[in-house]
Amino acid sequence: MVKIDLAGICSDELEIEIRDSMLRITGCRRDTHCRDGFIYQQMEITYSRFEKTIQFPAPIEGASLKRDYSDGFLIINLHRGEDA
Amino acid sequence: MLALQNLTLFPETVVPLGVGRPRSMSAVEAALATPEKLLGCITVRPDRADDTDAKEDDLYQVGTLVMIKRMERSGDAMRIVVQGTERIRVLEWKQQDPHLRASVQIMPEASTVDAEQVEAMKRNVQQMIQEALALLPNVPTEVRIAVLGSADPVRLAYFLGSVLNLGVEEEQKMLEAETADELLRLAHANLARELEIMQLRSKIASEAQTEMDKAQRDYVLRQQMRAIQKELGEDESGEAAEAQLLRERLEKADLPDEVRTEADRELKRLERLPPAAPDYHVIRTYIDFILELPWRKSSEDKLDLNEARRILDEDHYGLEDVKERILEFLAVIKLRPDTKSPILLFVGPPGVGKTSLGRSIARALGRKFERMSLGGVRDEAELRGHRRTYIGAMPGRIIQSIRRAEVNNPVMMLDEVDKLGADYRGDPAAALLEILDPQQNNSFRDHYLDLPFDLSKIFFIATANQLGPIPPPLRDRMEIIRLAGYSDREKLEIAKRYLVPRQITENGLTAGQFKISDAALELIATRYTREAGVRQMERNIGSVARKVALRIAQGEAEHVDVDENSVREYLGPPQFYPEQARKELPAGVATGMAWTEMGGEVLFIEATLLPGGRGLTITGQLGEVMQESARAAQSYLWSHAAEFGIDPEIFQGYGVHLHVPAGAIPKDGPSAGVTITSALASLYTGRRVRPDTAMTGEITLSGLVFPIGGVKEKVLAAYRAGIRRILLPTRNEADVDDIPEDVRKDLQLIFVSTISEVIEAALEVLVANPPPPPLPPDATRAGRTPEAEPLTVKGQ
Repeated sequence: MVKIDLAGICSDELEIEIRDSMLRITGCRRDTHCRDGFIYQQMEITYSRFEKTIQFPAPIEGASLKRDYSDGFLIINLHRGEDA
Repeated sequence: MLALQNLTLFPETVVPLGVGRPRSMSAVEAALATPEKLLGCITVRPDRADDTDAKEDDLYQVGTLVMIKRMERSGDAMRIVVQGTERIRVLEWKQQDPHLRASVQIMPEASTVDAEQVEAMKRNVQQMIQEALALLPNVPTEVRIAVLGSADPVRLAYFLGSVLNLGVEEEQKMLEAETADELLRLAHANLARELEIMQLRSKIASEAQTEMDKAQRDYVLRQQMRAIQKELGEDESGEAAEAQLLRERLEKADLPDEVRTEADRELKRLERLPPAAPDYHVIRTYIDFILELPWRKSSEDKLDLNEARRILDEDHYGLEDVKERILEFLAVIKLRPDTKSPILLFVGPPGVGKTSLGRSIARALGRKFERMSLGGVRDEAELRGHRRTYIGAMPGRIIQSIRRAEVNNPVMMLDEVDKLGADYRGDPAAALLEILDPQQNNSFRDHYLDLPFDLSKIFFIATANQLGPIPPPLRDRMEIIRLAGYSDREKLEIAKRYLVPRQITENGLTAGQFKISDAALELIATRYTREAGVRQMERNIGSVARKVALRIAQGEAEHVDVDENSVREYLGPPQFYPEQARKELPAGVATGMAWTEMGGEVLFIEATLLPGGRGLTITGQLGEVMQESARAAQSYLWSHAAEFGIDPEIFQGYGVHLHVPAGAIPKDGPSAGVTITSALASLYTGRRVRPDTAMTGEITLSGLVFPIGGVKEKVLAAYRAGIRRILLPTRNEADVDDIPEDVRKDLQLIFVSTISEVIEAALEVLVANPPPPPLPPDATRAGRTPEAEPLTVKGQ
């Protein structure tokens, strides 16, 4: 199971990709509150595109994948496939 | 758009920025008001960077598009964290205020032309990074992994560009690089340069470190050594104990006030110094030296005159007048103990016992004896020391001898004062002037000591072979006592009393095993040696004794008696044939006497007429003074020709050749004047000089005879040669007392004061060889011409 802190993401824009033993998650966090004339006093949140790569000890290609996005966490469940 | 000063941003790098200018802050705020939070960053050309807001053409064309990740405010300024994303090229500037705005084009990623080369360079760069990281110990492991693990050469190059602090121009070049090849080439070059600098810096640092380590190590070792010494009980905290010891000695020592003050002061300085200080040992040695000097310690004089006479007689045979002078001085010291010690100068040939006489004086007085040879001393500092500022400075010889003597009133012998040298380092004779002046030497200052020391209690005795080389002021300060040579009779006595017994002991014989007859000793004295003293004679006796010792040791004999014949056997044929009086002298030859350093000698002066010659030819290595007295003699005889019955024509018609054998030995001095006059008078009159007569004396052009020196030596030499009739200047009459009685009673001494008296006493009355008649001047020339021919032929 992989659990990632990913708040404020439109889950439709999340892309999850598996290649060999790598799990790659890319997406974009957009600032939905901003408009013209809006001024920040302080900005702690990093917006814009992001990319995360997780390396596994064994190939995970062919594993069955189930994802769940709730309360700002992305949870990915990976099950060992028949041939793995 | 944000204008950056002194900094270029690269894609893929995260950099914190401080933003302060209103225009920049306005740009950041505008960027933050967009959902993407993107900001273009472009760098100001380094030559245009100043405090004013940058214009369009102050800026580069290529910059970086960054994403603002964080922003916070502190006071009037902002801090933002940005991450580079893409490279951008400015197409057109849209707006200057309130912030810069431009339309830009995103540039494609640097393309790879030659993949293999890029890969090679990447590996190379990674290698160098590893080297660089080795020099930077504080880089976290994550960074190492991140850098080395990075597979993308372009990212690696951008990372290096941001990290290396290359300066705007270089950074901009890397940013603008179109291909990965060029980018890596730039990164490689810059990294190489940085690495070199880092290595150099680390080398310098490590050298400094080494030096520090060495000092520290020394310190630790020293501490350990001290601990070990303490364990061994060798020092009770080292220097303190040493200073304490010196202080105790100082308190016990009997020192004059001035010396004590100075010593105290030096000791205080010593206590303040660490023992490793270079001055420490200098001061310690100095205080040691002060403590060792006999400032007030004197030896008690034995002032029994009879005992003194006995000792002097025991040690030396003859030399009666010298002993008498010494006893006189002792008598004065006895009557007035506070009197200044005398300063004596013994002058005489080698081997006559000057040095041993000094030793006897010390023995007679009961004083310590110190001897120093001044022969060849050229440096004033040798006598007076070097100042303490010099490394290896030492006190002078005078003060060192006093320390050795351990009393301040030794008999100090200054040997060979006539052989002092002098050069640019100073004249030691000048230093002697102070040392030997009774008015000044009670506060003699050695350069090293720099404290006044009283030398006035020292009994100085100087010795010399000749008076001549001693500077007159120095001579003036000393009582001159001459030791002339010994007569053969005296030598015989000395040999019997001292030399033979000493050689018997030295060669391991006993008195019963070795006996030598008087005749044998006399033979050694006259035929095997030619000297005023007895040194060679002793050597010869020694070699006879050795040969005897050999025979006894081989068991050839129980004891050996040596007589004249066995001397010849042991020493070989005689070495010297003394110039004997000639039985008969032809006209023109006279017997003279000469003084040499080895004693006296007899010499003959020969003159002959040269028909048709001119003037006076002089040969035989004669010095200027002697040549002049020959000329004076001739002139006197010429001017008084009638008085002596000489035909004045002879002076014009004939030249004279004067010769003095032996031709190889240089001779000089005025004392041959009388002899030359006799020889010339004999030549001109035809009356022979009496062969049993020798003569000496200086002459003047007015016909007077002046006194000369060395009477004793000369008379003894004539006596040895078998001459019994001697002409001496009247004013030398007093010197006759020096001649041993046994010699004098055999002699007929005639005192003369004018040349007329000389001629009357020296020449036979009869005309034996009448001089040839004077030649007429014309005949002279005619006679000479044919003789000249064979000479030219010979020349060819």
